[in-house]
This record gives sequence, C-alpha cells and structure tokens, in this order.
Amino acid sequence: MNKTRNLNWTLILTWLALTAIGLVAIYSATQGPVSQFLPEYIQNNFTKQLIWIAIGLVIMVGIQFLPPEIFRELSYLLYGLGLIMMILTLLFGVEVHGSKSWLDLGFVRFQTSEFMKLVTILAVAQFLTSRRDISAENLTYALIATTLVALPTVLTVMQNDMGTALVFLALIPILLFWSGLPYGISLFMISPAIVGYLTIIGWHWGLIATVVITIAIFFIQKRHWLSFASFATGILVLIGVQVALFHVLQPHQRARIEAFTNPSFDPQGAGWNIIQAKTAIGSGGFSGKGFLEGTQTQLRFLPEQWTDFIFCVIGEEFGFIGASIVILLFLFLFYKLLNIAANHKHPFAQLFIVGVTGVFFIHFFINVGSSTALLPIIGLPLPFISYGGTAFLINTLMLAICVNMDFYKREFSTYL
Amino acid sequence: MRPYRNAIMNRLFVVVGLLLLIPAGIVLQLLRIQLFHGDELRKLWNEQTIDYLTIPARRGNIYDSEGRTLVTNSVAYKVAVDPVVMKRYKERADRICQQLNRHTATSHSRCMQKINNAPRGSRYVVLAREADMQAHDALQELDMQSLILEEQYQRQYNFGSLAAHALGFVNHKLQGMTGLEAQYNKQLKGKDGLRQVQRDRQGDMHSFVGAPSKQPQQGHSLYTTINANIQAIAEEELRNGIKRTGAQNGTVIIMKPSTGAIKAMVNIPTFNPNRPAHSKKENRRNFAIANMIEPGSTFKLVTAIAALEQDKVEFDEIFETPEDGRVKIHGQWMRDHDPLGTLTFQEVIEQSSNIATSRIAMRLEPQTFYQYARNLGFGTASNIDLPNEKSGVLRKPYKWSDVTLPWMSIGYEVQVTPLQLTQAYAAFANDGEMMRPHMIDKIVDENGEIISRKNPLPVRRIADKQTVEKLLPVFKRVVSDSGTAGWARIKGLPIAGKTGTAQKYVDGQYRMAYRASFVGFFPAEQPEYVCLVLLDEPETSIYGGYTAGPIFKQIAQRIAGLDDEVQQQYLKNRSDDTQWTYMPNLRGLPLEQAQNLLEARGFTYTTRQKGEWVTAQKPDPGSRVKSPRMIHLTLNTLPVAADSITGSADSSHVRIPDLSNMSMRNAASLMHHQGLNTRLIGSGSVHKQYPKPGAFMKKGRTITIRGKQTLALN
Repeated sequence: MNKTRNLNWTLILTWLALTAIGLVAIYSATQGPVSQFLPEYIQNNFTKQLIWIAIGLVIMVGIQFLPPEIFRELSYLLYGLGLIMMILTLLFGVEVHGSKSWLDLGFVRFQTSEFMKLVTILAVAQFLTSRRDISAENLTYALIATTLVALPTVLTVMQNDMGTALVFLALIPILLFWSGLPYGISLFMISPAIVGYLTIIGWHWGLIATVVITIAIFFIQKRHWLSFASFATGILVLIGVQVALFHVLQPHQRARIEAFTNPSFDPQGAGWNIIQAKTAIGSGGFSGKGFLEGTQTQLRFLPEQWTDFIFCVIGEEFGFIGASIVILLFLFLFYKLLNIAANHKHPFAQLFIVGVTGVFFIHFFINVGSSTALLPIIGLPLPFISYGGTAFLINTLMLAICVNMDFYKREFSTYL
Repeated sequence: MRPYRNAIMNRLFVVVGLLLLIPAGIVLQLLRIQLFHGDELRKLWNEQTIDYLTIPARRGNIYDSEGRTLVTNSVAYKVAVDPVVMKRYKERADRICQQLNRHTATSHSRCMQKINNAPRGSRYVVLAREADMQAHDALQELDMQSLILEEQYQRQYNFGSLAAHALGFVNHKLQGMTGLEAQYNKQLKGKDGLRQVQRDRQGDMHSFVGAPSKQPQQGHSLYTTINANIQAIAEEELRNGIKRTGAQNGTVIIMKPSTGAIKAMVNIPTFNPNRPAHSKKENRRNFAIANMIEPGSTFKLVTAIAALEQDKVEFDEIFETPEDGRVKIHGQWMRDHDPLGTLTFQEVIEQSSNIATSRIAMRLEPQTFYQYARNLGFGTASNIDLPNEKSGVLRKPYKWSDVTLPWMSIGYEVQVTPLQLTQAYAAFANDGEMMRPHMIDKIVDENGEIISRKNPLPVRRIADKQTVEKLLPVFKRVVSDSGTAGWARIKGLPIAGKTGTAQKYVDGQYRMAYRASFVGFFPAEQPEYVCLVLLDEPETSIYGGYTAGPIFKQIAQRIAGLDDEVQQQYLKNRSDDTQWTYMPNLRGLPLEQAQNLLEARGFTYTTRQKGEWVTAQKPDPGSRVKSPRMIHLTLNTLPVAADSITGSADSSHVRIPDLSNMSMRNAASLMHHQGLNTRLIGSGSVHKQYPKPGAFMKKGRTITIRGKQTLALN
C-alpha cells in the first residue's frame, strides 16, 4: 500500500488542474449564454467531455497496474497497428472541417492521428534505445528514426490535417536531439522553421536569422559544409516562402498568412479570427470579465472556442491572471516531465517522456501562439483543456504512461 | 555512464532553455495584448459588441379639470418584413398580408405591393405602422423570423375630436405638433432611458442580465383647465348651430373670468387628432387663437368703457339717429341694421346702433381710444399657453385715417382673435380685472407629485370698478326681449353680453358675407363663465343675436345644469320670476320656430303626433298664461293644420304668426326666416303688424311691423 506514495502525485494533480480548467472553459464556451447560438451537438460537448474525463481517470489509474516494459515490447506492434488505422482512416474516414482524420467506430469517432502520435513516440524511442550502438549521433540511424516519424507525417498530410502533421514534423528534431544528434545538425534541422517563420513576418528578419544560424552552426560544429548548407537552406527557405506566398499557395492559405501579418487587411474575412481572438484576450484585461461574462465568447465572436480558441475564452473571462495560471501550469507540467525524464535511468523511458513532453509542448505552443497572434492560425487543441475525446484520452494515456514509467523507474531500469 | 549522463544533462538544459524561451514569448505577447494594447482592443470590442438601445419614455397624459383622461398612450406595433426573404417565399408574404388585411387597415394588395416594390437590396420594409395587440398576436403566431414587430407607443385621444384644437396632436415620432402637445412637448415627452445591449456577430442585439441601464424619466402629465363636459356641450351645440344656420364654420370659447382658465375651446369643423393626416389642414387650425377677424359690434365694449370712463357720455343722454338709419361720415356711409330712431346711451348698446356708437367714439381722442383698446388686450397676444397665437391688428393712431375711429368704435378696421374678444369680456365680467387666459392648471410627474402649478395671473385693470358696474346693466339689457340678443335669453339666468355682426373683409373689399357673434357671461352678477360664439357666414340670418345667440343660450343652459353654483342661482331666480305673458300663435309654424318662440318666453312644451309643423296648440293663442308652464302642441308633417282654415297653404305661402310683444328685431328675423320681407317702422317691441296674424301671405312679400317704445322693464 505504501507504494502509492511513490506515485508522482504532483503530475497527476497538475493534470487534474488543467482538466478542471478545461471543463470550466468548455462550460463557458458551450453552456453559457452563447449556447443560444450553438447547435445542440456542440452544446452537448460539455457533457461528452465529462464522460471522456471519467474514462481518462480510469485510464490514468488502470495504466499504473501495467508493467512498464510492456510498452517497449508492444511498441512496434502498436506502431504497425497505428499505421494501418491511419490508412483505414484515409480510406473510410469521416471528414470534419475538411480533414479526414476520424474513424467512425459506430459508437464513437476516433481520431487515429492522435493515437499515431503515441505509438510513433513509442516506436522511435524503442528504435533509438534498442541497442547501445544505436544513437542519433549516427546519421543513418537518425535517418531511420526520421523515417519512422515521416510515415505518419505523410499520412496526416494526406488526411489534410496540417496541424497534426506539424506536430509530427516537430517531433523529429526533439527526439533526435535528445538521443544525441549533434547540436549543429539539430539547429540546422530546425533552422528552416525559424527562418520560414521570420520570413513571413518580414523577409529581412529571415535573412538576419539565416546569417545568425549559419554563424552559430559554424561555431558549434566547425564544419564548413554544414555551415554552407545551413546558409543555402536559409536562403532557399527565404526565397521559397516568398515564392510560395505569392505563387504557390492557394488564395485561402495565403489569406491566412496575410491575415497573420496584417489582420486589419481583411478584418471581415481572413483577419476575422485573429482580430476576434486578440480582441477577446485583450478585452479581458488583467483580471478578466468574469465567468460567463466574456462578451466575445458569449456572443459567438470566437470561432471553435471550445477547442482551438479555448485559450481566448480563458483570456477573456479570467484575464491575464487566468491565462498566466494556465501557462504556468503547463510549464510546471513540462518541468515535471523533463525532471522525471532526467531522473530516469532507462533511455527508452527518457526518450518517451521527452517525446510526450514535446508533443504537449508543440500543441501548447501552436494553440496559445495562434490565440495570441504569435503564429498564423493553425488549428490544434490545447492538451487537457480543449474539448476533444480522442485527444484528451490519448494525452491522458501518454501522461499516464509517463507516470507509470516514473512509478516503476527502479524496476524498469533493471531490465536494461 | 558518467559522460552519458552529462550529455543528457546538457541537452536537458538546452531543452529547458527553449522551453522557457517560448512560454516567455507567449507571456510577453499576452502582456502586450492584454495590458499595452488593451485599451485599443477594448475599444474595438466595445464598438462591435456594445450598443445602446433607448428605452422610450412614456409621454405624459393630459387630463381635464375633473381628472378625466383626455389623452393617453396605447401600445402599437410597427410591422416590417425582410423583402428579400418575402420575395423568395411568396406564400409567407401572402400569409402576413392576409393577417394584416384582417387586423389592420392595410389591404392585402397594398401589402403585397409594398413587398414587391421594395428596392433591391433593401432588407426592411414597413408594412403597417399602427397594428394593435390583436394583429400582433396573430402575426406572432405565424412564427416567421423575417417578420419584425416593433413595439411603440401611440398617442391615444380618448374622446376623438373633443378639444382637438386645444390638445393638438403628435407626429409619428411622438413629438407634439400643435396645441398643448406642442406647447408642453418638453414636459410631456420626458427623457428617454438607455439600456446597454450586446450585438453578436450577426448584428442582432441581446440584452443581458445586469446590463447597465438608465431608466427613462416618464413624461409629466398635464391637468388642463378644460372641462370635458363643457367642451362636449359647446361642441355639440356649436355643431347643431352651424347645421341650423348653415354657417361655414364656428368657434366657441368658454372661459372662467375670475381666473382666465379656458373651460372649452371649440372650432367646427374639427379633426380627429388620432388621425391628423386624414383631415384637411384648414380643419386643424385653431381659429380660436389664430383667426384674425373684424369683430363688429362686440367691439363696442371698448367704446362704451372708454366713453363712460372718460365722461364723454351720460347714461341718460339721448341720441337721435336718422330716419333712414344711415349717415355719412367723412364721405362713407354708416348704417344701422334697422332705423332705430331716438335712443338713450343704454339703448345704443342694447340695440347696437352703429351711428350712435361712432358718434360717441368721435368725442374721444384717437390716442385715448387706442389706449383703451390696447388695455382690453387688443393688438397684443394674450400669451395663452398655446402655440401659434396671433396678436391681431390694432394700428397705432398716427396711421389712422379720418374714418378709422368711428369705424373702429363699431369693430371695423381692427382685427382681433376670438380669444382676445373673450378675454376682454372676461375682464369686463371680472370687475375690470383682466386675467391671462390659460389652459393648464397643473403639471404632475408620473407619481402624481405636482411639478408646477399655474396660478391665475392678473394682467391689468381695464377700467375702474365703477365704470364696469355702471356698464353691466347695459350689457344685461342686450340679452332681453328688447335687446339684440333676445334669443339668448334664459329665464332666471341673468346674462350680460353683446352681439356682433360684421361684414367680412375678403381680398381687399367687404363682401356680402357676414360673421355673426355673441359674447356674453353668466350669471351676470357673479360671472362664472364667459362664452363667445362666433359663426362664419351663417345663411339663415346674418345677425349675431339670431344665429349665435341661441347657441350661446343652449350652451349656457346646459352649463347651468352642470355647474351647481350657477344652477342654484338659476333655479332661485326662475322660481321668483313667474310672469304673465300672452300666448303666441304657433299654428302653422315649423316646430323649430315654435320652440324658439316658446323658449324665449320661458315655456316648456310637449308634443303630440309627429311632424315638423305645429297645427294646434293649447292654450290658445293670445290667452294670458303664467310664464313657466307646459304648452301642448299638435304636430303634423305638413304645415296645413288638420282642422285648417281653407285656402292655399302650399309652401309658397306662409301663415303670419302673432308677433305682438316680440322685439322688433326678433320679429324681423322670424319673418326673414319665413321668406318674407319686412318694413319696420319705429323701434322697441311690436305694437302692430300688417297683415294680421293668421293670414296667409306669399313668400317674398313685405310685412309691415310697427314698433313702440316700451318702458324699461327693469
């Protein structure tokens, strides 16, 4: 019985706190005065979320009874299963909001890409830690690991779910970096993202970033070819983004990006969401307007306010304080996860926990970044807070596995 | 293990560093949005979500002096639709129009037409403005989203056209346009409240709990001095009078002399303030205060007061008027209505002699006369609390010509409003103290608290009390059998007043059209009411005494029945006042005339059978009877009596009634009314007549009546 003491209660409590905040926000976003504008199936989201949370609690507890090595053993199997499900989704899936990401199981719709995140991390962690000699320091292995992530990435792109695809892509440098990919190459890998992002804001920023990253890589790695490649990539990205912006991207995609850089360009169209999101958060002020009092939320100015823009609901109704509490809770969650990763003896567990943290972090960054106009709007839910059955269950499952690995860290390390 | 751990730790630091960097960026962005750009965004938020709806204040009611509600508000609905939707779903439009057709004045085809003719792109077309509750419920039942029902207050004039000119009306925005509605618009309308509402992204408004709102300050209510009963009596009697006399239009003003409170103000034709647009513009004009007329003989009050107070005339002074009843003054002919012979000053007023009056007036300095006219309120607005009051025209003496003074003394070359005339007589009735006429007694707020009270406001003294006291009997004599206003006489109710008959001055010349008026007050000793009756172009007779007098009489009699104080005096006097008189011959007269003859003598009567003509009477003509008694008349539809004297009795002939003891003037009027011409010899009351009573005479022939001065009765 004494064993329960060794459970990482702080992690569980943080999870509960985030879930509770999520419930409050979903309630406000679907059950408040706004409900008069919402169709019934969306009003039901709150009740549904309650059921998901109940199931999530069962998972959180149930997982703790499994031996940690089972995840290792099942990782490839699950990965294969995930891929098959992804392909099935692509063939028979249900399309919602333009993305074909859901598999209709009759009683429930299942978002397979969420499940894929978990199993991809498991598989990559398993691969990179299966043998002592396998490490991302060796670029061949790194490439294999990358392929393991790239497969689901391509599938999610095919499902037309760009947000999730971005999560997979971002996982690559995180996982590889942790398992020993050289700093310079890691930086090189994420440099297109940084340059691209800054180029969207202003091409000169992109140029400056290219130069700075090239110099940094040169000093870190001292390899001329890498520096050169970095510079070339930077310039290519710079030109590519410019070309893409004006020639390749579909008008609606370009509009989204333009809306990001200059929302007032088309306030009724593409800029609408950004303006409304900013307005919601901005009008919340320091202490917010109060529960169910947020006019942006309650008068249905916010799009998808129970998922993608839930942070705005919090920002409007609970103000800077509320938003900061959410950010601090997430930071604490990440810190605790990295802490248990660092204290874990088993590299598989370490890599898995880092991968999970990475997924949470990317979701957090993209969701909050979109809501606060730091990023162009990319629809991704905020872990544990946004409405969404599959996402909540898989996130909970990932966290539960992390808690499990921490719980069994002494026994687990002996298997090594 | 060691280097591996170190490597891990290094990487951990990098990851934690990145981890801190991005959330830090997010927090910075949050700060930027929420605190630094907060105001800007809040403003945007305000613009798009916060709106203010006015909560309309309820317009105040208007009550009469007895607290009866004259004007209040009702709720009406404005019905509008979105024509874009309606054009797409014709059957919906059809159903709405059907309901509107059933419940409002909007016809089905007109309604459909409005929808179909809506301009392109228009999303809002008003179909009906004043749909009532029933229509609202019926339309609500259709349950259509594109149907817009807007609640709004509507002004409701409970008694329709009653006192319409005094009350005025409002426009579609509930702003007072004329009358009291306009004069007291500010007090009546109150202050609209505001309610904060929120707009959603479709622009629809939503009220929310705890929304800040400012309650409207409801409009104040007016308690007018108008007495709805008296107003109704005056309206009814004036209407009847106009019908009887064939006049174009008429005005009655009733005022309390001691306070200046207007008790009734009537103009016929009138309008319904509930639907002002349905009436002619001319009908909406308040003639009582906005019509400038030459008053005629009623203006002789000025001459009488001025001459008496300036000692230019003695009471028993004798005035000789020419045999032919006309005289040339500075090259212009001045005529009396009849040759009046020798007159005392009293008789000058009583018989309304123009010649004698002008002769008296010419003893006065123009400046003095002007001053008296001015003092009596002519030439300046009375400042009654009604809009659009005219001040009349009283030219200054230096602009006068030689004939101005004599003609002004008899009420020409001066323009007055009916109200000014009433005010002048009210001052006369009020022992020479002139009060400002007013319409409002008090203004109260929604809780009934008095906001302001209009106290009677003395304007000035128009004459010494002695002058007024001396003149009163003279003007009382006007309303006697021998006076010009014998038709206004009521047995038992002392009345003082003056008739007026003025030729109309239209487009620069005097036409053969007249204004007849009578202004008087009663009870003469303690006047409670001043009443002016003015008729425009009466057809049956031009004389004020004959046309306006009976209207006055009817009004006075009915008011006497209404006002306890007046009634007591009236009843007391009546019982004292039994007199022996001779029964007139009523046979062959139309009922109406017989009625007038009887009432002039203070008789009441019953009728047997039906018809408009009197064929028999009891007691018989010429018998001596006590004044207040019942006369029984037998009627027939034809003027020929059932037991009639043989002879032609077709409509081209009339039977000559017994005119004896009637005043010359009344007798003449009666004869004129029957279609006979008269030749009058002498003045006073009828002494002899030719042909004799009972004879038949062809219409258009002349009857000769000889008068004889009788001794003054009192």
